[in-house]
Amino acid sequence: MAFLRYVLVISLATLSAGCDREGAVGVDVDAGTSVYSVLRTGSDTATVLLLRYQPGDGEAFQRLSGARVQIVSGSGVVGLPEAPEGFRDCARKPDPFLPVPAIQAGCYAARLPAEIRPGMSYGLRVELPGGDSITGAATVPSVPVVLSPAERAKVMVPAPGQIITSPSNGFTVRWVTREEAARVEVGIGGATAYRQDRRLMDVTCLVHGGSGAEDHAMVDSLRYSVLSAECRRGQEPVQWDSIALRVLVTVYDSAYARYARDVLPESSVRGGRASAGVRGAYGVFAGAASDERLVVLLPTR
Amino acid sequence: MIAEVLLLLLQAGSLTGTVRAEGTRQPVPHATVEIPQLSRRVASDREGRFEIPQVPAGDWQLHVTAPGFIRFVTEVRVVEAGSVRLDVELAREAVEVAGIEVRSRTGSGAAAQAGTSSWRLDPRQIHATPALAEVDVLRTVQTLPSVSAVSDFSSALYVRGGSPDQTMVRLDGVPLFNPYHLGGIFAAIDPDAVASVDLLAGAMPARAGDRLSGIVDIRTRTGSRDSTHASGSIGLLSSRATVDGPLPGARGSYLFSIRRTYVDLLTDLAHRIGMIPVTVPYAFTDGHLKVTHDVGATGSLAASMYVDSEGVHVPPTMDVSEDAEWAWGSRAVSLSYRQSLGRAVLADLRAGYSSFGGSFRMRPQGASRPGEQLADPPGSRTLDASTSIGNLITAADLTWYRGSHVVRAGVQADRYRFAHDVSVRYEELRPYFPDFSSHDGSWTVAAYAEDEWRPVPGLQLRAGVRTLSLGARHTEWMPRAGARLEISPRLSLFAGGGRYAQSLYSIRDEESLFTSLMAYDFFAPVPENLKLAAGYDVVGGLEWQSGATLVRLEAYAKRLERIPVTPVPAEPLFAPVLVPDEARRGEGSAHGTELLLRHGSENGGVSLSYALALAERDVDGHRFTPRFDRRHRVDLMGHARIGARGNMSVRLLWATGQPYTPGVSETSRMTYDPLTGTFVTGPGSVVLGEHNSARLPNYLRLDIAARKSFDRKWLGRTTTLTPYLQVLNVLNARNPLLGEPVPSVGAQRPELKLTGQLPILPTVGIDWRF
Repeated sequence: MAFLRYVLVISLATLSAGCDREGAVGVDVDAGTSVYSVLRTGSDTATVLLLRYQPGDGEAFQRLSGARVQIVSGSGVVGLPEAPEGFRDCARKPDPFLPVPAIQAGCYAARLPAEIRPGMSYGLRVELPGGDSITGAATVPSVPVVLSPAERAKVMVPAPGQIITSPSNGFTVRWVTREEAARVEVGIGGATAYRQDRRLMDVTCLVHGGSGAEDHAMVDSLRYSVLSAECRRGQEPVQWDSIALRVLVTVYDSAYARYARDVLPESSVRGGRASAGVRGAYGVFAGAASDERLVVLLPTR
Repeated sequence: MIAEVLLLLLQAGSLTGTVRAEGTRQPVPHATVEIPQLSRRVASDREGRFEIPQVPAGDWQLHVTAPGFIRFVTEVRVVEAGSVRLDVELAREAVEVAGIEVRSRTGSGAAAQAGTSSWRLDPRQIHATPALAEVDVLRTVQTLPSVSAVSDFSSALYVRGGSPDQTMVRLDGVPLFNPYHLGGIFAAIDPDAVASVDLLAGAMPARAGDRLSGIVDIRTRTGSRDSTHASGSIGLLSSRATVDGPLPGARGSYLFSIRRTYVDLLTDLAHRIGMIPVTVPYAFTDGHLKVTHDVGATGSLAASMYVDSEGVHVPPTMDVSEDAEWAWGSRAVSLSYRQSLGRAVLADLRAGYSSFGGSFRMRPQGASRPGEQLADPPGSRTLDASTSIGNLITAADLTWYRGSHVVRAGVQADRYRFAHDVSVRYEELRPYFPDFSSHDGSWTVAAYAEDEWRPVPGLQLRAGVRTLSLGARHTEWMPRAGARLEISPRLSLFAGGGRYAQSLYSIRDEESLFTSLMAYDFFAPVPENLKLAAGYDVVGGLEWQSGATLVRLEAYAKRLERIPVTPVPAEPLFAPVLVPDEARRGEGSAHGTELLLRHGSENGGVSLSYALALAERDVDGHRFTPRFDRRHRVDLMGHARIGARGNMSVRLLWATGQPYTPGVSETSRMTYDPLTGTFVTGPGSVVLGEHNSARLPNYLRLDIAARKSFDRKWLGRTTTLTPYLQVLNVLNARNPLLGEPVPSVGAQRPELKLTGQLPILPTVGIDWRF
């Protein structure tokens, strides 16, 4: 009987326990500052975003105001005043259907005395309200040359219901870079709709298609297929005769390449990799250069 | 080994008895029976009988030695006006590890060869330790203070800050490279076939094998020479059976054991009759065969064979999207011959071969397989991986018993071959298993000489040297030394140290989380720039034993000077498990203290062990605590008799949580949009701190087991049935396996997401013996 009693005790203990194998505990982490800036060839404006991570109650990421921000170049030092909230060159919200919170960053922007030129080196100096400082350095890469498509090349959008696309439903982007590019991105967007040769205002156009590739540093051409295109004013579909689509080839320096490789895809990143081109903060200070073409999308009648 | 000690009062002031060979119970003539404290020594006669007259009253240590047998040490109490009779059974010395001191039934089980840091487990301890579904040899080794486990899912052995590839698991003198089943959840050793398990954890003698951290010597049981016996077990997971008995002519014996799972058979049957939609197409089998035979008057031959195999074979009847054919396992054979050369010299010759191999293929159902004419469809998800390692061994050892000296010398040649081919077309697996192909081979030759000397009673000294040559590339000279001083009949001090080297390592990265789930090592030759992996250690401690109570305290320090270490992973949670080409010259260290308290009685026993361990690795300027490290570990085990034939075991294990890489802050993943020239806000990303600089919550596990035996008469023989019930993790503690830092979302604070290990897990089964 004694043995059976022990077996009974074991059985009851077994039944009384649950099976919760996962859980989470809160952790204490430190506050942190992130800085984001990309200087682009041909532009005469510099924009620097400052963001404060402050764990505690309320939004964790907060705009960082009151900093002293300067861009240093061969032509001198330019102070970047803090822009008012909603300034157009500051960070924008992602597409509303993405589960990403909107973050309001401190935005510092100013016109530079001269256009940003390839091969030039620029420095970043930031003095934070508490006295800490951030520095950065970037060298702007040379402008790539887009070889194709030709400016205003015509691309046919498949008719609704058409499943198999033909060569005329896409275009090939070819480019060359002057030096070995650390990172190349081919961006396609900025669609503008036209009807009877007049631009349609307050219209949003979505062009569906793609190449499937993201970092294009290892290739020098890309085939982009257009699957469909639609334009709406609010919720209402809008008829269009043509859509002008921007095709942008952008070359980045090694700092942004590291940032894109180590930080963007990961929900966690080692401390040393969380900073690219900057010291004293997380984030990125980098250079970029772009060349672009316009292609014209036409509907298949 | 079974050492029967009978204490009987016969005649005043004398110690008498008989020395016999274990198993055969044949008398052992010319055995030396000695009480070192009294400098009294006699030899047994042709019938194995001995007598030491005029022994004063008191507690004395008795040593019994004979060429070819393991030294037997026990305590005897001689009372005034009384005497003691002592019948001793000596176990035959293993070919590969001679001279291990075996203490009496109530002793520590420590193999106390002059300062060697060692532990012994016998079948009783192995069967008494609660385990997952099966009595498990390696899981029991994990209960020793010198050993820790990386997870509930792995029976791999982490000895004193060393990784599993730095500890050799040897079966009858032949290394087993991956003695695991089901990824490491179970040891691939049939517990019913095991006679003893010795762990050498530090200050290893010169004739121990070449590993940096430890040697686990498993010896297969020798079959009975008296009559045929059978035993077995029926469990939830598998069944096993063992039969042993004498060979015709009574000059030898055999032992055969086999174990197999049957979940594949049961689920296939249920699937065929429509009870369940899918089968579990996994099975493992392991088997041992050992044959011993006397040769002439003083020679003996032993042949041992071991096989383990397992696999996943998706049957054609199963409606799944992928065909899988996975098969892997080990083979080992050994042949050893022992011959006495006169009365004082013993020669051992040994040859063996051990291999581990695996083949893993997976592809969409209906797609072609390698060797067929049709190619896999472009872009199809396929996996083709194979791995193998083979080790051919030849060795010769001489042992010379010369007065107070035991001199040992030997040589061993090893031929290794390695082959790995991995091609993975599953995107989700590619970060962990990179494509690679590696085929290699190497030769090593090891030689040693060592003297163990007892200059005065109570003092034991050991000094020797071992060399290991890796082809013409490099030769490492490794001095070894140890000492043991008996301060009193109860108290001993010991110290030792040595230098070690090894020629192979595992390309599995210990920092990968996969190592918690997959115990298998993928061995390769140590990279050429490292010559041989090398290190050294020192140990020291004391042992106090009185009757059934034992206290052992030991401290150690270990330095690993040249070891292949993978660079610190960029993403700790997603570190590749196989890193074939990136091993750098790294360093390591470990030091700690181990305490064992044990008390036993006829009605049960209790043991408490505590281990303080601090391990570090150093590579590319990064110094970090390895992921398997547990700073403190407390292991409390007890067993008690319940009723006449019942027994209950309890094990409570508490340990410091394992290291993980914590988040120290956060940044936002803002993406630059060249079309607009602005940044697009993104989700947060946790900024990680120093590698492994924080600890997961502590580990706590309570296991209990109960068993009771019944006798039944079947077919004229008494059959003993022992049903058992085991429950692991009775408290259902989560015991985190990994911690994933989760970034803030809006106002929600960052968290550490914890994934637990084994939940509460009951198993039942029945052992049988007749």
